[in-house]
Amino acid sequence: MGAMHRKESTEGFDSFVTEAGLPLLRTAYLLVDDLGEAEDLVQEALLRVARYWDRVRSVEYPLAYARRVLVNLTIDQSTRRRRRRQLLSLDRWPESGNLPDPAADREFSMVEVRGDIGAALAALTARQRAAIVLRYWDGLSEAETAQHLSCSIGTVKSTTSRGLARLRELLGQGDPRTGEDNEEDEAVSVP
Amino acid sequence: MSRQHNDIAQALADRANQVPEAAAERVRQRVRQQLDREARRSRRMPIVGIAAAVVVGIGVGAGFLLPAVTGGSVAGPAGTAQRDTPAGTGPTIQLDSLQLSLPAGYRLSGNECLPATTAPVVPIRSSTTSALAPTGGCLTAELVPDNAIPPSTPTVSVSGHPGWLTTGTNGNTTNLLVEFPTAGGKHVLALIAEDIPADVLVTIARNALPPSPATTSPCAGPCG
Repeated sequence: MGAMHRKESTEGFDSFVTEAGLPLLRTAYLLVDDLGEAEDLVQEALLRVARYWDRVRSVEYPLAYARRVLVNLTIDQSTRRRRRRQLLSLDRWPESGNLPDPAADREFSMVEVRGDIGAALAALTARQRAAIVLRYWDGLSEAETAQHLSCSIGTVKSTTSRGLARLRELLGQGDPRTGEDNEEDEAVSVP
Repeated sequence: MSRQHNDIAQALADRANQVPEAAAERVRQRVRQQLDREARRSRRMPIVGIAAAVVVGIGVGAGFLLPAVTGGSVAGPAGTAQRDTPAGTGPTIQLDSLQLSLPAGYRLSGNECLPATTAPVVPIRSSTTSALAPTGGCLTAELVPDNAIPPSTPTVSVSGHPGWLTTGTNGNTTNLLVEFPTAGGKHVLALIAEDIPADVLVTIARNALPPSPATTSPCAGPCG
């Protein structure tokens, strides 16, 4: 009996992974702009889902649960990922010494980024990126996005709005006045 | 949705559709392998526990009996062995096919242990695992692309593989990068540590990496 239940559970999880793997991977790829990292994140998210599979499979949308785990993992690890990338890069050119002028660097990155949605997304904060990807790629409503990000609908609206403004600026479509990119912005909630 | 928002949605879709289905299949296989490994480990656990208890019992018995039989004295608790092989008695970090055995007293951690820097970025290939040393040091291990290695000549040989030991800008950070070949091309093992001696990093890497074919092939006669 126990073995049969375990077999059913394993088969159920395997077919879920077959079905949900690609959509989750595409979301992760938009969130981190690196396929290797996206694969690692989806793997980690699916392993977490597997540990609670008996409970997860009874919920209406297991994919939504897995996506929520994935988004939270991505946001949680974003600072660590950025620092690690920076550290390794610094070690690669230890003799470089002088860092570029930040303003010139920003201008240069804007020129590079025009027309490249991946690079433009990478310039947003982790939560802005998540809000935009969930709303405009996964097609979630503001309420669903708020659930995924564990915040209010107002925060989703403001985070998305800032992210879109920044994105349009970077993609050369928009209003440069709204180009501020500040992690603290994310705590602001619009009622 | 406005036209601009449609444009963004379309750009996201174009970008997302670049992900090949083979990548999802790769993830599916990795998840299945990991789950199978965990299942095997949990089935094996009771047997390993009993075997470990028997081994410890025999070891303790021999420790007490041997000196009495030979008239000698008992040495310290494996002090020399631990100095010679500081890695291998603590927890392990699994990075793809590499298994990194850590010294006794270390514990795995999800804590941040990388110093902040300000520099451009390089892509990372694989997930990371951190561990805390009993002395308060911290170690992060990961596999990174081979473009992360410095342009200088290697500073250390690890099991015959070229390695680069560098010190971070804050002085107490030591990094070891070791380039090694795999079936899928060259990989680089990166050990990024704070307040952990360089020789410990080298030992951890040496125990994890297979010997370089270049160092093993000439060994036709008795080796070791």
